[in-house]
Amino acid sequence: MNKKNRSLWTFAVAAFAILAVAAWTPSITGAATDNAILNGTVKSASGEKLEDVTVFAKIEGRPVTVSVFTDEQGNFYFPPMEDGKYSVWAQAVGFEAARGEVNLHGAPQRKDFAMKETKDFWLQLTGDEQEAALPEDTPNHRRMKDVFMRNCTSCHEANIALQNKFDEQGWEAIINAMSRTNTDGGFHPSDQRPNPTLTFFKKDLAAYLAEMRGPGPSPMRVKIPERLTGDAVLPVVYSYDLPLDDGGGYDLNNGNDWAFGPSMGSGGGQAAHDAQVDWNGNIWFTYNVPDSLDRTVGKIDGKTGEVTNIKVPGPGEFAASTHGITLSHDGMIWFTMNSAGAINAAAVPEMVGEAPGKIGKIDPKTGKMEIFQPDANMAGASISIDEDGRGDIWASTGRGSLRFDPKTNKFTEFVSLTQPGGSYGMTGDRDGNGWWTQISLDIVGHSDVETGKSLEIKVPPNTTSFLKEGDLSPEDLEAYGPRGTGTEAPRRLVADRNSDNVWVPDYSGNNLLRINTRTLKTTFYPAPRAGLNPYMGMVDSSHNVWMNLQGSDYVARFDPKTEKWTLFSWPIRGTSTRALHMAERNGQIQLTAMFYNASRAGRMVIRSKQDIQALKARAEQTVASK
Amino acid sequence: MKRVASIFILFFTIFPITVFAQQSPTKSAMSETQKEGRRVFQQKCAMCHVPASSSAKTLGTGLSKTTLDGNEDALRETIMNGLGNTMPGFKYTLTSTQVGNIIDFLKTLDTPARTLASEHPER
Repeated sequence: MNKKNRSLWTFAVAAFAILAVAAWTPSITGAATDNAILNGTVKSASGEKLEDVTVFAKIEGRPVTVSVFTDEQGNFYFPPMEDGKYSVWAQAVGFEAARGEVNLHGAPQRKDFAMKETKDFWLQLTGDEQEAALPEDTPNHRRMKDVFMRNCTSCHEANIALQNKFDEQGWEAIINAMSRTNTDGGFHPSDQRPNPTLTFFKKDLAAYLAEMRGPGPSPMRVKIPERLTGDAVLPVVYSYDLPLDDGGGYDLNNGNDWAFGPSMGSGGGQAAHDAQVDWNGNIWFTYNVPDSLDRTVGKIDGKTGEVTNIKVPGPGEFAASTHGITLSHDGMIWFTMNSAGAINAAAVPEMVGEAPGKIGKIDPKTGKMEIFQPDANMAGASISIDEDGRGDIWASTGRGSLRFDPKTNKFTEFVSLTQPGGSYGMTGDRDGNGWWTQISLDIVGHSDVETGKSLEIKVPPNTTSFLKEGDLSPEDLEAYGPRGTGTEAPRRLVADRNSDNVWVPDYSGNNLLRINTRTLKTTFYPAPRAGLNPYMGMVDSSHNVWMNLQGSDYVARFDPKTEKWTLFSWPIRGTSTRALHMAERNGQIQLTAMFYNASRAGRMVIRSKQDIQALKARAEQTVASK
Repeated sequence: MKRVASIFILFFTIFPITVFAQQSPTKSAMSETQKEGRRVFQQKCAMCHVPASSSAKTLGTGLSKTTLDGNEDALRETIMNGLGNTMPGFKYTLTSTQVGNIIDFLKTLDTPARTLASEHPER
């Protein structure tokens, strides 16, 4: 791009930004008809004010739950909400849930909670919090904890497994079942070879899990996690229940009641994958199921929770499946449509041989959809999609990446240097280059758009572990496979389009990797806790990096200036998020993710202290006037 | 013993030949214990006994009131003590009341559930 074109482009982006800010509907303060502000205080039974208690409000008949968090004075402030009858409840680890009802009618209303302590809080813990209780005191405990983490937390949180207690034979039955599962929760045919690593460790793992979660006393050291504070307790979260696409109805454990343990997604409740909020506060989501009859993508009304399914014909009678999603600078929604590239396409024989994955675009204002097909000699779009700083769209593929120019509708392919070159994460930097992760090879590929060549960076091995020399035998290491220990598994990366940084969440390395796009210097930042499984990054205009954590029910924010982390809570148990998306407008950040196992979407609105102060003043003013 | 054996065979049927119901049991009016049984069934049993999606395979057989016919005690025993290294016993995780609720729920199913859901979000 020459200087003149670059200036025009910058002007166009700036002009659009001004117009778009004017059109942005601030969702913190709610719509004009919403006046009811629910507020109150949460204390323990002994009168102690409790911080970081999650308080929920759910209006009768709506599939939307609103959640806020108490501050250091134990106070909470909901955003203005519509009139109606609400179920309200408060939850915190180590306390029984406190419940009530309120009728909101156009004015601030108070609801206080007193919470009773309980020692029975195991099921209230997130996956990483349960995993942290597994001891590391002996060589065998360290060995088996590593085996457990490697084999049992790749697809779901640890609390899916550790919610139950079984004897050794029972755990062996569970391992037998898990050694035959697909990533979508179905099972392999009986004549297919079970997972060889799980088979190798089966007896030892069953004995270990029976020691940890069995009939006898357990050496696990369970503790109540430190409560969040500061910025972490400011957000409001909207959780939307999605009707199941096959048969309708709603997931039976949507995670709202922590005493039930993590949501499981069994019986048709899985597979809504990525979620992106648009500029009107509505959420668009992808659906990664090869045999859905009516859902390629969906739209959730941000206020009512109403879901609209959109079907693009796929193989046979099925809808095309989708995976990645993003919001471009002009407010368009883009997604990857990957029927042929779907992870479990083999489950539906009609899909094999389908045309390669396409990319789709929806105008949220008009609903108009366009589908773009890569050239026949190119690999199809698959997992992830993103826009670069020049307005081109990038998609990961089965052998590298694709760049799509929305002005000319032309695709350009970049093939990974190291094959098999299938990519997982995809992002575009501010200079118009694409960056992609080869998750199973610990490689970050990238383009040089000036020359049309592909380049790559080898991610240095992970050297942080609780394992000690000799904990794993040579046979163990052989069973681990050629990559052994020290894998990073770079997942869904993100470029900061206001700097020269690309940020890579390392799933197995449990860290965040910074790559300078000019110097290619790499810097690791360890995640704030063990077992978080960082998954996908987003960057805000202040250069903060946000990541979803598949191993936990938190979102992590990293400030590169201070190198400090802040954890923010999703309000449910069993989120198992596989993506994080963001929209930042007029100084307001909104984060969205699908709660994969709960058939739900979450929208976290980051509020400032001033936002809370304004709600507090409004509530107090009404009380004083009465 | 004969009853246990027949349940054993049912659980071991890796690819159930039962024709799945085309609707989930959301429409029928359920008692509170049946709803609670449905919730626990989804949390603990559905992973193996209800398909993850319409064309997904299950590991265990589909369950319905036909499975229970005259076999309630055997089924209760199976849930509590498991079936060797094929199905875990839930006696350290579930109470006998919860197992009873699961059985009450299964009595509402004419055919095995294809999906598990409530008509409205319950929580």
